Amino acid sequence: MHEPIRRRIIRATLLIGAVFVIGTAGFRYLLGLPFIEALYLTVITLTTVGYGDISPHADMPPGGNAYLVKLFTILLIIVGMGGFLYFLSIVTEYMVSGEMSRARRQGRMRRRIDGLRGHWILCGAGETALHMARELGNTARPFVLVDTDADRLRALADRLADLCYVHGDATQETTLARAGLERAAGVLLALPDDKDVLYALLALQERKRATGAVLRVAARTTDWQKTGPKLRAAGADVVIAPDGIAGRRMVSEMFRPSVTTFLDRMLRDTGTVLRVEEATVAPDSALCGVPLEQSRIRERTGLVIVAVRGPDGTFAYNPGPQQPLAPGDVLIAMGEMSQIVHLRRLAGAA
Amino acid sequence: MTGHAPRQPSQHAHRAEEPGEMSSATDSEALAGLKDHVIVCGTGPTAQRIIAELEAFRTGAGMRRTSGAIPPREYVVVARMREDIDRLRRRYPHMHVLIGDPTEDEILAQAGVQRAYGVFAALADERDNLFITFTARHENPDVRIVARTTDVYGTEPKLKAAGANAVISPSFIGGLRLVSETVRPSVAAFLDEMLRGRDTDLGLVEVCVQRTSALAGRTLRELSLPARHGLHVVALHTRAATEYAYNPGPEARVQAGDTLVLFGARASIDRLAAEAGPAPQEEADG
Repeated sequence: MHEPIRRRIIRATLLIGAVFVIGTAGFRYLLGLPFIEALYLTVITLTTVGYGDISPHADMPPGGNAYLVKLFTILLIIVGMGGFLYFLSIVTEYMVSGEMSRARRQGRMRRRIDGLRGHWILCGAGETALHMARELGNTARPFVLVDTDADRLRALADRLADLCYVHGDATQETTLARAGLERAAGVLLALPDDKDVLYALLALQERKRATGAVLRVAARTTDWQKTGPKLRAAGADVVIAPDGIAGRRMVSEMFRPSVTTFLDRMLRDTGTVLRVEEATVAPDSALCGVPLEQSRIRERTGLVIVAVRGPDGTFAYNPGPQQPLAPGDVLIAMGEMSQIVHLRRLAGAA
Repeated sequence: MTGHAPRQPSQHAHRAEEPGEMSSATDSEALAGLKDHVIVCGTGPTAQRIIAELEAFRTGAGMRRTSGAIPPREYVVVARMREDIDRLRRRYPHMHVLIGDPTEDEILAQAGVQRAYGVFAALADERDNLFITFTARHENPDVRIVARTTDVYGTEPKLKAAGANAVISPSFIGGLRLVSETVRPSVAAFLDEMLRGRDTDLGLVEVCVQRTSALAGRTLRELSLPARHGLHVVALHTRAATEYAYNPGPEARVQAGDTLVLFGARASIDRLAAEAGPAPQEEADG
C-alpha cells in the first residue's frame, strides 16, 4: 500500500530542499539580506529556533513591503514546517522499521555472494533443505540458499548466522546466476515439486553442455520408486529419496537394536564433533610428493588419515607412513571440524 | 482389550471403508496365528520402503550384510484405505493386511500388538504416529516401536517419551545423506566400503573392554595398538563420560567397561576383541 520507503525519502528530501531554496531566495529578495543571512533566517524560522538576532521585522529595509514579507513568512512556515516534519517522520520510520539495516544487510550479502567461489547452491527452503543448510554450515562449506518464499528466507536468516540467500525461482537460470552459478561447485535441488527438480536438472544439464562447466548436481525426490531413475537420467549425480532412506533405516532400527551407536552419532547427530571428512591435495600444495609420515599431518592437525583415494577412485586404506601423496589425491580423515579445516588449508594451494 | 477378536468389528474406527475388515476370511485366521511378527502402520512412501525391505527378508534377498541371525518375519500392514492396500497387495501377494485406523486400540489389537515383535509407526501425520506409539507401548511393554517423524526438534522427544525405541526423520537423514554424497563423495564411498565390507577386510568396530580383560587399566601408549595390531583408536568412550573422546592421546587410560572404537583390519580387531574380553562385539550399521 506504501510506495517504497526509498522513494518517499527522496521525495521528502527534494521537497525540503525546495523549501530552503525558496525561503533563502525570498528573504534575500524581500529583505535584501546577503545569502548566508537569508539561509540562516530560513533555517531558524523553519526549525522554530528564532534567536531573534535576525528577524523579518527587525531587518526590514527602508521602503520594504512589510505586508508582503509577513505573507511570505506565513506561507514559508506553513509549507516548510509541514515538509520538515514529513521529512523527519520518514527518516525516523526508515530507521525504526529496520529497513535501513535490512538494506545494508542485503547489500553486504550480495557482496558476500559475489565473493564466493567453489560454493554450493541449495535450492528450496523446506524441512529437508534446512537440515542440509545446517550440515553445510557445520562442515564449513559456503552455500547460497535459493527459495521463492521471501518471508521464509528472512525467518531462516534469523536462525542461521551469516546465511546467504537469493529470493527467486530456482528453475530460472537468472536466479541461479544471482546465486553465483558460474563460480559454484554444485547445485543441490530440494524443491517441493519433483517436476521442478526435473526442469532445473535439464536446464543445468544444458548449461553444462553449452559452457563445459564442471558442476556436481544433486536432487531430492519425494518418490523413490518412479521419479528417482528419471532424475538420474536427467543428469543428477546424486539422487536421494528421504522417505525411502527413512524406511530402510526404520527396518534397520527395528531388527538391529543392539547395533552400536558410534557411527550413528558420528554421521548423523547434529551435536557431534567427530566427522569423517575429505580434503583434496591441490597441484601446488606443499603436501605433493611427500610421504604421509613426513607430511606430519598427524602432528600438525591431530587427524588420523584413514584412507587415501587416488584420482582414479581406488582407495589405499589405512595408509602406511610411506604412502606418497600426489596431486588429486583425496585424503580421508577423522577428526573435529577445526582440524579438518586445518587439513584443507594444508592440502590447498600453497 | 484382552486377547484378540479378529472378526469383531471396531466400534470407533473411522475413515476406513469397513472398519477392522480383513482382506479375506483366511486373513483373519492368519492374523490370529501371528506371533513375533511386525506391524506396519501406513502405506505411504516410507511404509512402502519398509514393506519392500521386509519382503526382501522374507524371500531371503535380505538387507545387505544381514547375517543369518535375523530370521525372516511375518508382517501385517494396517491401513485406512482399501485402495492403498490393494495396490500394495498386487505387488506383494503374500502380505497380511488389515483395513482400519491404526490409531484405534481395537485395530492394533486385531493386528496382534500384544504378541508382536515390533511396530512401525510410519504414517504421514505426526500425531497419528504419536498415538500409535503410545497405544502400542501401553498394550505391549516389550514390543519394539520405530516411529517416523518430520519434525526432529518438536515431535521426536514426544515420540521417545511416548515409548518409541527409535525415531527416524526422513527430512533429517535424507538431507544429511544428500549433502554427504554431494559434497564429500570420497567419504561416502569410503564409509560404504567400511560398512558393507565388500572389497576390503578393514572395518570400523566398537570393542567393549571387560573387567577381566588384559587391556583394562593400561594407557594407550602401553597398549601401542597401532604398532602391535595396526589398529587406530578412533574414539574412546569411558563409562564415566557421556561423550566419546575422539582421537584420544597416548596417556588416555582404558578401564573396564570402556568402549574403544577401532579402525583397521577385521582380523586384527577380532584378535584384540579376544583380548578385550569374552563379550561379542557388534558392528556399526550404515
